[in-house]
Amino acid sequence: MKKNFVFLLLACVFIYSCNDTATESILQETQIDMSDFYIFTDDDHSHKSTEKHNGDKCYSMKVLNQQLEENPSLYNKMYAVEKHSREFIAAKKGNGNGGGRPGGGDGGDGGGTDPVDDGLGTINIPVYVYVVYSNNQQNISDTQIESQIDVLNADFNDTSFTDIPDEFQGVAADIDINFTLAVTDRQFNSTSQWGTNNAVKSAYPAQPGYMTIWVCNIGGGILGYAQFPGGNASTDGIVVSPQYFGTTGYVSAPFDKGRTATHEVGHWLNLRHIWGDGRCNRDDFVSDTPSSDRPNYGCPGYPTIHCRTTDMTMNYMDYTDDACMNMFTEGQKARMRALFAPGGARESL
Amino acid sequence: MKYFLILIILISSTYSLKSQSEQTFEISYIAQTRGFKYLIEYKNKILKREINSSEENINLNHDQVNEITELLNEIDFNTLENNIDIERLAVDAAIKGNFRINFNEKIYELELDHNNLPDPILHLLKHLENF
Repeated sequence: MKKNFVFLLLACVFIYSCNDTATESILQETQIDMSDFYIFTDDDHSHKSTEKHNGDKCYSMKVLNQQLEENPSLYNKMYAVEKHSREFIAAKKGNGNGGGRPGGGDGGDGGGTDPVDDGLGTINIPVYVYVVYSNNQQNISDTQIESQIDVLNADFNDTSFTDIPDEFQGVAADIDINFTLAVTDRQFNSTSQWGTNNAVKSAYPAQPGYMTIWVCNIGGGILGYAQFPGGNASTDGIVVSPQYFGTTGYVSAPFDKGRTATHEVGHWLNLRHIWGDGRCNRDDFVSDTPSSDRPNYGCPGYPTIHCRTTDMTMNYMDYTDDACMNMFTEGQKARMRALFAPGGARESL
Repeated sequence: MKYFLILIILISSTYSLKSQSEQTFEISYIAQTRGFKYLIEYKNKILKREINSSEENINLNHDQVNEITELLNEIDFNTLENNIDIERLAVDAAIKGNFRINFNEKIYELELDHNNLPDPILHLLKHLENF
């Protein structure tokens, strides 16, 4: 009995010290709960093979701390963006918490279910499109570019939710953001694949005052990628391969409905993947999206259940096919629009 | 009774010799993102490959299995590290590849950047891709 008690005590001390060490580097909290904020989201990354690391229970926090040491300014910027968003949403709601999730579960403070008038009105975003091509096919037409802008405007101003399961109809949102094509900048470059290390952005930097979109062949199985708010201004924007951009011309099914750009713009407006890039306990900081521990692909049937709730597979921030995604939530809307509030990361737009 | 015992001993020693000559192993690697899937699995001499919409199962012969065994013996799995950058994963700039191998009675698991695989793993997968 005594032995068991001592063992239990030691285990508690170990767990406590582990948590204590892990949270040391997290910045000071104010009234807004930021305890769940993270940049690096999964539990078991960046360690060696399991053979060498059995029992390393605090590893995820070690990774976080290591990343903070390596790039504290990025973390601080992202932390500030997140904190501002939560404060803005909390102020508009009158409290720090969003509504409950459909199907149960809790969430962060980054946006809730009930529609809230944030006082920002319709937000207009001018768009600067680089078309960087190495062959004629990649030099997509103006019509194709306009078709993508049309999709963005439709997806961010959707008011008809009859195509969404009843369970989610109450949280579906009209984001009320408009996109206007301001400049199309065509650049020939013999590079056939640009990858995802921002090479294209180094060659053709982001344009201040616009949302910059680079349309170029990425390769490596990547359809498009983005940058969260708070990052380097010269690389701020989204990149999409030409065959997944727009709905007409050089497009490739089943990603020919312009939803790759909608998804990437979601990231650019501070949305995380709907499954939180981790397990059930990892959050996307939106309280009206259900918990999940994985992306969904293709066109999943309804209901698809993970983490004991129905996955919102039709959300633009999942990984389903273009034709099978059709909604943002009120919580996601609040997060995105908070960036345009005074002091927000995209206020200048 | 005597002959029966001898027979049992002979069978068990043959079985033991056979197990020593053939190292058994299982390999599983899957990398997936929106619009891309790359899967390679090996178990019981059957190699399964699924690269986007193309899917095939191949029965490997003794020589091919030995070829893989030799490759595996050259890899020090203890020195390989996870290299996926979660921030890049969160904005779709990377594809996570989950690698798992059961080899020499040990299990190794790695979470890798599919477009930036460690050389030994890349070499192994390319080899399995080309059978």
